[in-house]
Amino acid sequence: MAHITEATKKEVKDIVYQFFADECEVNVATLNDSTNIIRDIDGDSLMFLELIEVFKKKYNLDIELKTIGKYAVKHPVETIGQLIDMQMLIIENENKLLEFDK
Amino acid sequence: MLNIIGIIGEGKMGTNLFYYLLDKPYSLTWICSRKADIEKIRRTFNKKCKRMLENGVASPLQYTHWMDETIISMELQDLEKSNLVIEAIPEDADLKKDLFRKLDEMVPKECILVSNSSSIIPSLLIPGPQRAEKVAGLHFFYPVALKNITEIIQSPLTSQETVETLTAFLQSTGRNFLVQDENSAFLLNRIFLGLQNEAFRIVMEGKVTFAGIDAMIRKNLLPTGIFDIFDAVGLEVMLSSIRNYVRNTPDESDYHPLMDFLGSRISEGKLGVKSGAGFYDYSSARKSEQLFPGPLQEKQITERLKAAFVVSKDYFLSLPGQDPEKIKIALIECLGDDCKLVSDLF
Repeated sequence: MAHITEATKKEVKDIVYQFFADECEVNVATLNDSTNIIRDIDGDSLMFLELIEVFKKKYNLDIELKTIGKYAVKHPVETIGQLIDMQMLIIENENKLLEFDK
Repeated sequence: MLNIIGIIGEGKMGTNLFYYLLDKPYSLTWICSRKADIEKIRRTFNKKCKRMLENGVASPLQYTHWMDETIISMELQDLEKSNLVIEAIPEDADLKKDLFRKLDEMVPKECILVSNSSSIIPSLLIPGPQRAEKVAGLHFFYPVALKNITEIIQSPLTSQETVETLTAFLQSTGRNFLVQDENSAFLLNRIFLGLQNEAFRIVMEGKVTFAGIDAMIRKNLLPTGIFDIFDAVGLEVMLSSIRNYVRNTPDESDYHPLMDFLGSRISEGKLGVKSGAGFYDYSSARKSEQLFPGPLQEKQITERLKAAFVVSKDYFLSLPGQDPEKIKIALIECLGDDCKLVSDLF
């Protein structure tokens, strides 16, 4: 289990914001944690899958997509802030994400 | 051996399939139909590939392969070298038939043509006798990366060699699969049809609201509500699928009230999540679930829903060649291993 530092939080947030600005072709300055991914920036609820691959590589995470899928069914993500929170939980708990959920 | 794969359709499923197969060991040709969108689709593809390279998710070699070998086009002619073409266009049998007829004229004679349809059997899509043994169904579930199960559907004319090639293809991508003939086709959807109809009937009896029964279903049976699923998939897609599933079956008339209801919502422009309303209204935050029945009624309703599921399950398990264990595994892949309905009744 990784220890989350303030620097990690900032790094994750920057990557997520830049990802959505790039993918949805919007100015990063217009995004905030309350931005609704589907309604506000015409995004897709599955966009987080690419981010998972990025964070898996970056933090050397041991987590299966299936585990994330199960978690996401129970905790649907609507806003950028919720997505960042989910990414932090994944980095922190990896394949124990569902145990954390209990 | 397959090496060049064509994907047709830029909807939710076509796009999802394209990106799922992108990092698999194949060259992809993606055919899109909307001129207005093609530049954005290409731009998004280029950005994604670049981002994956920059983030270390893809190697420089892989990036070069993507850039050199991927074709995103509006011309079916660009499929001329494909060994396998997967169509994922709207769920309309006439559209798909017409597409297969055109493809038959331009792809190599060895090329396998498959439909990702969730309700149209491959027999209906065979463009001519020469291609018949190379036509099958290949039904992926959305989202492809998260639902590791695919149905291979063979018509009576699909050759064993075609089924083996498709099996090897799915194995090469690490996917679980079920091989079905046309009698058991789309089993993983059809097995829930009776339960869906029963849920609708219970709401129509005034015993509970859509939100109430969905809340009960989430609590006792499935990870998501029945009407949540209708709205997520799209009411017009669900209606078309139900029509195809029940057409010419002895209990077709049992489904008329549900189909009429869906037809009426569709005519009001209520297609589900994508249109902002379906069974539920998505224009504002969902109101808290109301009309959750008392414990006794909850138990009675749950038993009725379970009984409807058991009837479908027993029917499918009675068909020749069905393996209950394989079906259970497939259902778990679709619904998760904590799905109460599957763990209680299989």
